[in-house]
Amino acid sequence: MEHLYFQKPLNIFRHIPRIAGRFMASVLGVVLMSSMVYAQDIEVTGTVTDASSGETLPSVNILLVGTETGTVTNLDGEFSIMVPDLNQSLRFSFIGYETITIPLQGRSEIDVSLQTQQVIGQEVVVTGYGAVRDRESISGSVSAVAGEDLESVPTSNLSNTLAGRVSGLAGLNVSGEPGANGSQIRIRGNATLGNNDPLIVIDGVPARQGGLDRINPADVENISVLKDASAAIYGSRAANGVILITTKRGRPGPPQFTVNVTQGFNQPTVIPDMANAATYLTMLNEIDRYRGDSPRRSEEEIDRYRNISDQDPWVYHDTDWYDEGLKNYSMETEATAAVSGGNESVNYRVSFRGLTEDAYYRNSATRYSQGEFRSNLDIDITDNIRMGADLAGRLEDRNYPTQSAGAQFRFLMRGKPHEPARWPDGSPGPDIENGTNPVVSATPATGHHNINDYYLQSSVYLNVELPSVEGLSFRGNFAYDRRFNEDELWATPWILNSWDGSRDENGDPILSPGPRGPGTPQLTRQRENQQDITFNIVGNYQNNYDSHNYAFMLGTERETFQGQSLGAYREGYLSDQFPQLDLGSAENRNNWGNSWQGARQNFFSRINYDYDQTYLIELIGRLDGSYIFPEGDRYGFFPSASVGWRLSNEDWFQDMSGSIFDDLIVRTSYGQTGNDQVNPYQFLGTYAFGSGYIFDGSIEPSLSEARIPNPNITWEVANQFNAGLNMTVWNNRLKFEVDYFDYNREGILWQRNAALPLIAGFQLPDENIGKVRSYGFDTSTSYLHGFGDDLFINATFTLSYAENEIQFFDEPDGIPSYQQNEGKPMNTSLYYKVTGVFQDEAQINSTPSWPGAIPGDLIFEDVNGDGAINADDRIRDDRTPFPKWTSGINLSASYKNWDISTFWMGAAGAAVYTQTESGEIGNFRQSFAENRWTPDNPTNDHPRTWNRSDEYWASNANTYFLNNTDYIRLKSLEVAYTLPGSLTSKIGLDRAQLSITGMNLLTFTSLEDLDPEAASGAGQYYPQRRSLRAGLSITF
Amino acid sequence: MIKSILKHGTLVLVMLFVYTACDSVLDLDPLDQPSDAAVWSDPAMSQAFVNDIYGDLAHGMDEVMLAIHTDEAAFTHIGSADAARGIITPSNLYNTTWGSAWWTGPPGSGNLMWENIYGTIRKTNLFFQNFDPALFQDQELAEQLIGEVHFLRAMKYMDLLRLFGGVPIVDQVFDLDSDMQLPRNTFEETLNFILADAEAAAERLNWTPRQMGRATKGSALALQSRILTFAASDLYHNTDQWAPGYSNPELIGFTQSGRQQELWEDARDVSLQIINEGPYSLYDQGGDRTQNFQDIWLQGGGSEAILSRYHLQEFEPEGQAADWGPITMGQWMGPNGYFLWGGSTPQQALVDDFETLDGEEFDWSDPDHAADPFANRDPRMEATVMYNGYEWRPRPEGPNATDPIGRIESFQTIRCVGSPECPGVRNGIDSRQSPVENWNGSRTGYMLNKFIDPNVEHWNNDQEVPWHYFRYAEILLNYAEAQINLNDEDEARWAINQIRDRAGMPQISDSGPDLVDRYRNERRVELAFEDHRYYDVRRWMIAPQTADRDAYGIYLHAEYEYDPNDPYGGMYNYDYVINGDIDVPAEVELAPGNPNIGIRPVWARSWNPATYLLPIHRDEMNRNPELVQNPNY
Repeated sequence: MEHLYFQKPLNIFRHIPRIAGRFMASVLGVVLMSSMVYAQDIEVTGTVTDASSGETLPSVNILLVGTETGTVTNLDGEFSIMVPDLNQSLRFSFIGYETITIPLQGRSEIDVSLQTQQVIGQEVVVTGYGAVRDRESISGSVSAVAGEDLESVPTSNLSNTLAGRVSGLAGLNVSGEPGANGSQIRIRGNATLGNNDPLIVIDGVPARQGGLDRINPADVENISVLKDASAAIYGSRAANGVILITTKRGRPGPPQFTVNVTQGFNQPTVIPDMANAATYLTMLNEIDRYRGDSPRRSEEEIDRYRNISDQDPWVYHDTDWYDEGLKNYSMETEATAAVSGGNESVNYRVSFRGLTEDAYYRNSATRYSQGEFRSNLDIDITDNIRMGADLAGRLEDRNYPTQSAGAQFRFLMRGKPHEPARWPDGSPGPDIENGTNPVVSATPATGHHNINDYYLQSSVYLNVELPSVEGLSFRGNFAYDRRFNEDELWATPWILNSWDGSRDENGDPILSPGPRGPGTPQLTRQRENQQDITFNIVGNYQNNYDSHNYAFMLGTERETFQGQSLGAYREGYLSDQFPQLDLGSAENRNNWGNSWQGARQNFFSRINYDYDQTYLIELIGRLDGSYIFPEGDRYGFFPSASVGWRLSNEDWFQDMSGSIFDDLIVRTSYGQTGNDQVNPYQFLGTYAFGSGYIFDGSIEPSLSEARIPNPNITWEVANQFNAGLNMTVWNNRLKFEVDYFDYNREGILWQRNAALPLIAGFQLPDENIGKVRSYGFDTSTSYLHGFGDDLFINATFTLSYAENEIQFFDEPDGIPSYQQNEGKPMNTSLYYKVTGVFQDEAQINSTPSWPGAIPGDLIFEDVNGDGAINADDRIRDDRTPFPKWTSGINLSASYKNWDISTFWMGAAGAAVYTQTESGEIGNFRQSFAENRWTPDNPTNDHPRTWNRSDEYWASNANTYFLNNTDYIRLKSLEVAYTLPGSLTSKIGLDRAQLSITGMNLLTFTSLEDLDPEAASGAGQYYPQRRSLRAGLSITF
Repeated sequence: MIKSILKHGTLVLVMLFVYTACDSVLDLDPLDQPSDAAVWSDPAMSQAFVNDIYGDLAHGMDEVMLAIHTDEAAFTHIGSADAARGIITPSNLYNTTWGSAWWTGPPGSGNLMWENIYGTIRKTNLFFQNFDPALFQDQELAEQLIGEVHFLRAMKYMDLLRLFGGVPIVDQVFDLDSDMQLPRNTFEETLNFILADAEAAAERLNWTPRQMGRATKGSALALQSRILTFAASDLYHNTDQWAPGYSNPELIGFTQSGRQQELWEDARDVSLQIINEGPYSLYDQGGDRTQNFQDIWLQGGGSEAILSRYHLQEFEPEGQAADWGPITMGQWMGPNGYFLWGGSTPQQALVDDFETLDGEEFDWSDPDHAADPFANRDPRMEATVMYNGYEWRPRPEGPNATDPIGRIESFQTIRCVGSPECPGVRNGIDSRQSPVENWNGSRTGYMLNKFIDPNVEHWNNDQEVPWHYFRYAEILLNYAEAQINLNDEDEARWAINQIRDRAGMPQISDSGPDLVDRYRNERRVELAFEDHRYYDVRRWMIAPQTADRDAYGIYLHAEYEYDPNDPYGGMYNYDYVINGDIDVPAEVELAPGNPNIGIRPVWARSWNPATYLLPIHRDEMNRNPELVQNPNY
């Protein structure tokens, strides 16, 4: 094997085998050493190190070739072995590294460096409940990604790092707002009309509060994604897929410190280009003309806006609202530190992270800060008893202005260019609406909204291997998590300045400052806390007989949670300086609170068998009980089976294929999983308290039916079929994996829309009636190549396609077939189909048209041909904001000390509705303004200037505004330089790396003015980030 | 060895022991919701259940008022609603412009939607099925609650009958297994069901309310007065005129002759009973007539209020019935020059229907009238409508720099003449060319004044103005209408003149068709924006004339002499001038009696006889094959 030590990202999961290997090697070593029977004369000593990092390697297995004599390296990587003479050879082996045999050739002291193993497919995946397994022994559809691959993405939000990197996983990053910039993750697309969120399991605890977004990527050892029925080990919560996150743990060795510091800069990926004052005013005149009014401004006056620099800046404005409201870039800073190490009996890893992110706004009230620590501890109490204690704490500190980001960006887009955001003297101008001027409303001048979330996650485990029965062990895990939420909304009045044109005796304008916002400061404080307890016990037995390998697991788990909330409100504060409840007025004060609870109880089992890794079988069964469902229906059973056949182990196949396959396995799985993310207690007939009714001047309580119970409510079930193959060719250089899936989701909780006349007076309870089929494929290809000793390249390509189709929806009869939901994807909408633009009256008169249509209006197609345009002419469009195609391309190269890594992501098949709030209410996008229909520009592609919702085509959803969002973007880019070891060792460092990373640096899309992942087609959301970070990472 | 097995085995057993799985861990109940059994075995919770039903009563305090479907109002933010344009269909009933539900499609707020009305009816039936008076120490209270729920159910069926005609009568609690495919009951059966419920309520309730806001005997009788007046009207006795050939006329009116006379008599009798026996009188505190009329709402209405919905600033409506209208009405309806949103604005046609102070019909071709169209008018006009020049309340900081007094400026422009120092032309602050939030500017040039408290800074504060479901003036008018139809014109004039006396208007002495017109106009101006006009023009069958008119608004330009010593003073002393300098849009019609004032169309309207009744939604028709669609759809 040539020296192929491209450190990233192909040797993923090398740490896990290293840990596992250490134990095996230790055991082996002890056995071997105790059985030394030869006379040995000469001592050979040395040190074993990692060839790339220079770290010493403990527990490396050393064998005197041709004998059973061996030893292992100690914690410092040193070894000593007695040999009969110095003409022997020693073989050094360690899992995750290339095995190397070195002839002593007379030396009694030799230092050896081991290369990390470059066999692609040497992945290890986590499949739930403690099972860490070789990729090769998996017959289900599981993807995995190593933590270190995620660290290079310049985002503090882990959820933004996964899409496109894991085949079959799509993410929609709908916001760049500090503290809310996560991605909505879908595994193999949407599959249910209900909740499509996958289950997140963090260190063995399902649905851990806080999710994966805010986990320190540097703490992540690996992430495994269970995509098919092999997720059935999580039974009723597995139908949307399962993401398993394992955090890093300590390894034996001297303490190793790693410190990372990054400084980043970010800005919106796209800022809409809006019309300038002259264009906007011209369009306002058009609105007047189209209404039959005389235009409100003369051409002469508009000309002044065209020559704005010659005009009085107090009177004539050409405001770029985005420029007034947003900085050129905002800062993000992040620092992490970790120390890990251990000895034979105690291993530890402790990490810290702090980060802070500013928002795009000038003088921003928005800031997100996070502080966290994680401490993972493992203790070998005896050879057979091991325990551990993990503790993690995190503070997420979100600060916002009292206006939402959606409102903020709504007003930036609406801002009229001929009106001032600020006056020439710098003081804020008048409002746009309701006191909102975006140059003020994003600042602390409007008060603050502070949200603190505290997460405390703790767990202990005890692992007992029964010494009398080889391969039998029991593991108990107890996790206790708490979340505290503190929310303080302090809304204070602020000052805006209007100007009526009056001037003082010097001719200086006299501004009229006036308070806006609430009349008096208002304080709302809320507290919420929840505790979750997860307790499980798992028994494992695994053994082998000749080439028959088998493992049996049986476990049970119980989860309980309970929470409560408390809130209070006061107003009438004399000062905006003291947000304290007791200082507010007693009038209109209010308070509220509530509590909730829940419990789950599960039993599960997994059986694995393989013959020589050639024929693989996995059987999973899980019995799930949940408080959500009625007694008697509380338990659901979720089985799955998967089989694999490793053709490459068959002699006939190797003969036939000429041995080009290093590995080829075909596999298939089928099973049932469930989705219990539904409202609890739907089986109970209960009443709910309402907001009351006013009698005699006071609010009296009110109570109404909360729901019509459905006593038969039960689990939503996914029948999941998967077939796929993995292959590795060209000496493990090229790896290819493809999976086809076909899922049928049944029992989706949905209402019988068709059956129930509304005179019933109640909403039908949800029943387990909905059926959705989802299908598609995902594939992943990786290739590794080295040129000489210094240049290595690596490419990974993933492509996923997921489509869904409603099989049963229970629609009322009589809906035109082109409007029905059945047979169409979920969450689609109805639109009038636009076929062009009316050019003249004659065309309007000769075409079925909306009453009152005029030239320049959009033509709606008379779909049903009845000569009139009405609601029956709407068609159902297949597109939703969620892409059907997702793809990722990772291209990396390393040359000597340089590493460069690019990650491209693409998506297709989604659409967004891009109608802006324009007209008298707000500005138009320049791309519309310059292409709009006018009598002089009789285009058939764009309508005339419209006024908010006055026009029928502005107030009725239609395909003109529905735009494809297909895109390809450079999601991340990393350029890193590792200082030469000779230099770093001089200053006492093991390793030092400088890096520049970028996110969303380039985007190619046909969508104008908006990010293709935009959450709001009207631009009313906090846009996605483009960021650039510089980082320094040192290890010592 | 044995020791080792024991040791390890014990650890495993301890883990299992600590775990001790048991099923009871899953036996949880919701912590914030009582079961149905708990509710109906607890008098306090049973009462709370009744309180909730009150919240479902449909009131008119919405941004989109029922008035926009009539010749009373035009909605600022969107063109005429589908119903007013005559293009409502069974398939777009709740899926119209702006997407869905109540915005513009069917008249009225969510509480007038078919399914929501039946949702409330279910509540009333649940009460009758489960209520246990024996639980109550206070038997009178239990009886009253029963009476209130009868009243509430009658209110809901009254809405259904008025909007849709005869409907399926549901007087049971359906469960999942019930046969819910009921046919429509006839118009008469539905009416009788309403009357029976109202009667059951009247028997159990007192004239004086147990608490302000609760139904009384007067409420139950007023309901009868309203629905009998409605059912006696021409529309339901002449279905062959507007629905010729309709296969099921019994669903939309009466098929036998002679019923109309009886119904007028019943209407007369119940109205008279209220007049004679009830504790009600027209609200009159003396003083300014405009102020007095406004105070019917601003001061609670006193003895005129028969049943009202009250509001408190601290009330935080939530959930499906979230009902912010009443407290944010001022923000939704007020002038943009006060940072308010325009909302449902009065049409020119309504303004024109207020008589002059001496009882003459207002006439744009009369130069005296047209010279100063807002002067010397029925005091109720000012109490109902904010018009150009109306002095409302001080403007908030900002706009107050331009207009320190607070007079409505819905003129297009104002300019000064007579001095080189004149500042330039500027737009009216409350116009659609205003520098202040002009997209919220009224298109008609008028804003709603009725129900709006002038003492509240509406852009950041809530008001506490009640909605009167029934007030005594309506009973007098119902009485007058019945007497007109029963040919007792003296009684009719007496009742109308009661109203006019209170309003500060001269008495009338008309008779015959003139009296009918006079009565209808009196009802129009007295009850404007109180959710009557939509039903009145239909039942009187005058909708083809009233509803076919486009909505119009005022078109004004102001001009004043500039006084350098009082640069702002002239602003409040302007004349309307439309001269050659002003580029008047072609659509503006100048007043025949005063070419310096114009009116112009705002939104197009069109009458379609189908909209005498709303359609039943296509989906509902398909869910229930027993249903018959209304005529002309």
